[in-house]
Amino acid sequence: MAKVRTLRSALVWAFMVTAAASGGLLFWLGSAGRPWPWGFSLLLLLSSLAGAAGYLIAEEFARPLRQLVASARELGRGRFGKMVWADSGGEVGELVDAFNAMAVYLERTVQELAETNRKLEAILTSMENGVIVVGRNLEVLRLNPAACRLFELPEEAVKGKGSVIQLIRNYEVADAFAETLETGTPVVRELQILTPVERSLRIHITPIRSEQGEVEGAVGVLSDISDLRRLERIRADFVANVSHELRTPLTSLKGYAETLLDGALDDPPTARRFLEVIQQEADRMARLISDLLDLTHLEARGQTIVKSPVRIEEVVENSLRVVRPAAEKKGIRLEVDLPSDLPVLWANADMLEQVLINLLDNAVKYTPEGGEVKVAVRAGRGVMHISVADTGIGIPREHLGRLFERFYRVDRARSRSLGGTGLGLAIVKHIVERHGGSVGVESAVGRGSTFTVTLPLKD
Amino acid sequence: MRVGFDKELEKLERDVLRMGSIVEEAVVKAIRALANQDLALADEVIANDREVDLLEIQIEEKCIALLALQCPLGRDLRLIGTTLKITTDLERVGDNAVNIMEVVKRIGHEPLIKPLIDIPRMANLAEKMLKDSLDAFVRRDATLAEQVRLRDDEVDEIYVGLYDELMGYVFPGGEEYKVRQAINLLFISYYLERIADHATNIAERVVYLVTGQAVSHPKARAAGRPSRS
Repeated sequence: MAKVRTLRSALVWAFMVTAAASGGLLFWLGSAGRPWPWGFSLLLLLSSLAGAAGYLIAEEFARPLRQLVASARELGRGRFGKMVWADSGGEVGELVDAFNAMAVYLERTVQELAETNRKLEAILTSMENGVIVVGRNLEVLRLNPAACRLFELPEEAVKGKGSVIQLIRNYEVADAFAETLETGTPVVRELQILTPVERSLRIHITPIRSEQGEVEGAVGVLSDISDLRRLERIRADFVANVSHELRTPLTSLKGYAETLLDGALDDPPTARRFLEVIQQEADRMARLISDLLDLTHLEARGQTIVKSPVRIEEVVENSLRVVRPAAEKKGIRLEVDLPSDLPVLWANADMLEQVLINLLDNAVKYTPEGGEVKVAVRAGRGVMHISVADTGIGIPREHLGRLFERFYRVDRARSRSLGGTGLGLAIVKHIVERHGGSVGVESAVGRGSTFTVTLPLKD
Repeated sequence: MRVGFDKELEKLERDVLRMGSIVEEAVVKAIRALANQDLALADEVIANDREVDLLEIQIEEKCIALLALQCPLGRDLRLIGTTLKITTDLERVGDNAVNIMEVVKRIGHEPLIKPLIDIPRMANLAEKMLKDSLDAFVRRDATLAEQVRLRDDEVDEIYVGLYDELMGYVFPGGEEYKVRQAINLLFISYYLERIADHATNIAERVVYLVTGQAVSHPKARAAGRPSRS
């Protein structure tokens, strides 16, 4: 290239020299007054030489310009990194330098934009909330996967086409977007969608404004608050249940106390009977409150339960001691089936005892006189199964699923007459789950029920 | 001018779909009110129907204005014609939901004479047909629309079966409340069958909108209604 450059420069010089020489020659011929044929040919030769040199000079200018054009085209197609040879001096050289600087700047800017886009895309895609972006005419510009899931839209809908009502056929959602676009103010709505799955949604829509302040579109963020609403309902139900359960014994306490004051006190045998009832009801309230406190403790997460090696034989023995008087009173046989080589279980012995007492207590309560209650323990692969089987009245199939819910009772009146709080099985379930185990039930009406607790031997 | 017209057509389509969404919700709620004997929900569905009626009038006026002022041709003309027809069907579906709610209120909390199995099945089919016919309209999907039309036979079949079964309760000397409820349930199944018919109509309009071919009314339609003495 360097050689070419020297050659070119040489030719440029040659052109200048020739031009000067031909000028001189013309002047000389002109002053001589008569044209010579050989002199004319020389002139022709010189001018063609000048022409060739002129072409080369023009080429010298055009080459970098052509490169500029080619590079600009490449840039236009988004292909960066192609520099133009900056070997020209003067104005063309400056242009080339400016172009190169611009190319570098463009490349950096585009890369930055792409990076930002990638980040935004990652955020949108991984967000748990649904995001819907609409344009001025309610046309959907973007839907993130979470929004697609909420409305069970196919993945290709992520591209976004059509208006809100076309994609998500829910007028409340569409109306909320229309309102934001119309008023230019954020809109927050809570709505219940029924299809495809019933959900409670909170939708928060904010207008997008141009630099001139005009509303250009809107972004809606949807959160699924179904779980929240359900929990609220459960809590409200729980409070209602507790109040009801506390009021029932309280009503009879009040009633009997009033009757005593109204004169029953003067009739000692009646007074004694009434006082016994009052004591029973007070006991029931005390039991209920202690059960509630147990449940509250169990539900307080973060609190770890203290475990130690437990010999299940001892736990079974202790719990049987508690229920034996009640069983003997009803003439119910208590059977135990414990293999001799049971492994040691890591658990909280007191809690485990409560599980067994609750299950045994229920078994004795719901088994008619002369029946049988049997505790059996079996070791499995890394787990221990503890079952309590009775020959009681059994539980109808439709109640099995909800049996472990707080205050759920198969027969409200009967449970209360037997002194139940409605919390026994809920406590069992909580304790077992805190131990990483599970509890199940099998039952046949009129034949009896079997509750089986499965606990891991170690965590 | 033409850009404005396109915008108007888009808006018209949005309005139809908005109406469709309200009617769909009414049907879903009606089915739920029926299944749970939920009288409060029944009242809600009845009250909401007013909006559907208003929308029908608004959309109709808009269609007529567009026809008069823009003299649309080809696809545009078909869209406006289709819209006029679809809104009529949607409005009727809304009415049918209200009719069902009125019957549900008449039944009240009476114990049901039989567990509802076929009626909910029919209701779900009709609802799905309505949803799919509107989906077909959005996507201009003639294939889906054809499927919806075929499904109408299934609904008709259940209806014929239900008719026979429920008529079994209606005989002289039958317990009065049972006879009354059987007739009420018969009404409900009739309205559900009508909803499926309207969904079929909408599907047929979509086929016309997409292909430009009018769909001939199949004999199945007439056979759907039990013609017994």
